[in-house]
Amino acid sequence: MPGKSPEIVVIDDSLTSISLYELSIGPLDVKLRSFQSPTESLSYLQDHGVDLVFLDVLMREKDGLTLLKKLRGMKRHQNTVVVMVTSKDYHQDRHIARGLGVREYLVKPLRSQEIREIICKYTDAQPKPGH
Amino acid sequence: MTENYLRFWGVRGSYPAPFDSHCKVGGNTSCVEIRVGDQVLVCDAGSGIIPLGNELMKQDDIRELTVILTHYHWDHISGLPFFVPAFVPGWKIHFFGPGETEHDIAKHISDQMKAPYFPVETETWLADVKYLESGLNPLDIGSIHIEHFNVHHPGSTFGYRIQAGDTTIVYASDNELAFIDESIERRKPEFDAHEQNLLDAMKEEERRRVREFMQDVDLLIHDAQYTPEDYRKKRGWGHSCYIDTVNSAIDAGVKDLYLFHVDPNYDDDQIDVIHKHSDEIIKKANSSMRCHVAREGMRIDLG
Repeated sequence: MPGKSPEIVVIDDSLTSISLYELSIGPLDVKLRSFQSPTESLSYLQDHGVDLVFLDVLMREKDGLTLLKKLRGMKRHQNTVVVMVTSKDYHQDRHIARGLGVREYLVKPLRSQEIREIICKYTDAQPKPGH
Repeated sequence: MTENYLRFWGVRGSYPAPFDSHCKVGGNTSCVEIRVGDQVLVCDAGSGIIPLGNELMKQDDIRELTVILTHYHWDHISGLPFFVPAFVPGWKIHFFGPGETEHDIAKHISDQMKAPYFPVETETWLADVKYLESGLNPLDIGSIHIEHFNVHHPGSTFGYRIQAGDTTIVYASDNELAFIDESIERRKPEFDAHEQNLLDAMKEEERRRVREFMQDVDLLIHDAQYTPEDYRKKRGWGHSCYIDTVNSAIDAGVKDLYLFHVDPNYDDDQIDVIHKHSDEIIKKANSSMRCHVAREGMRIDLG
C-alpha cells in the first residue's frame, strides 16, 4: 500500500520564489502548501505536523528567524525539519538558524533540481507515476 | 514656542571616527533626533546620543523621549552607557527595537553594560525606563506615527517609516541593497530558460520591495557606506554601495536623500567625491531628487 505523500510547507513572501517551488515539485509525489504570510503559516502549523519547512528570512511581516523561534516553541515542531532559503548570506543569521536546529541554510537563487534534492534528502518523496 | 525639526547627532557607520580629516562630516555613530513639538524621537543610540543627552540636560521643558533602535550592533547602542538622561530621576525613556518580547529588547540593550565590559549596569539607570511591546506596528508617539520593516542586514534589523507632521521620513541606517541581483547574476548560466525567467521576476520583485518602503518619501536617510571598489571587497557585510542607494532613491521618487552611515575610513574629501558623483547620477537620470551628505549637527526644519 503506498504511503502518504509528504507534506511540505513553504513560507516566503516572494510570489516568484513560491512559483519556483511549485515548478520544482512537479515530478514528485508531495503535497506543497505555501504561505506568503508568516502569521498565517504559524496558525496553520499550530494545528498541523509537516514533513519539511522551507523558510525565508527577510519577509515584510515577520522575519524568518523570529518565526522559527515561535515554531520551535510549539511542541509538535521542536524537531520538524526546517531548511532556510533566503537572499541573506550573513554569518549572524546562519549562527542563529543553526542554534534553532535548521538542517541547512541555503542562499537564493536555487535551481529546481536543488530544491528536489533537498526534498528527497529529508522526506520519503517518491516520483509521481510516469516520472 | 514649539519646533519641528530633524537633527543628525551621529552619521558614521561601524565605529566612531574622531579625526581632524573627518570633522566636516562628523565622527559619531548613528543617532538622529526628530522633534515634533515637545515629542522627542531618537533613531538609534550610537555615540551620537551622548552629545544629544548632554544637550537635553541643559533644558527643563522636556523630560520624556522614545528611542527606536534599528538593531543592536555596537555602533547603534554604544552611546547608551553615557546617555546622561537615563541616569537622572524624573526622565521617562521608552525603548523600541527588534525582539520577540519587551524582555528581549531590555536584554539586548543591557547586555553591553555588564562586567567586565562596563562598570555599572542598567540597574543604575534612575530614569523611568520602559521597553515597548516589540510587536507594535505601527507605533504612535504623540503625533509621530512610526512603522517598521525588515531590512537586508545581519540578524533581525529594522528600517523605520516615520510620519512627523506633514513630512514622511524613512530611516534605514543599515541595509544592503541589490545583494540578490548579484547572487542571481553569478548563478544565472546554470539555470534553464524557464528558471531564468523566474530569476528576472525575482529581481524585479526585490526592486519593487525596496521601492515600496522608499516610495515618495520626503526625507530618506539611508545606508551609503561604500564606494563600488570597497563594496566589491565587502559584499555581504550588510551595507550598501552609495550608487545603489542613489539609484534606488531615484527609482522610488524620493525628494531628499541623505547619504548616511558612511564608512569611517573615508575622510571629508573622499565623501565630497561620493557626493559629487551622486549628483552626477541624479542629473543623468533627469531626476529632481536632491542629494545631501548627512553631517553631524545638520538640522532640517520639518515645518
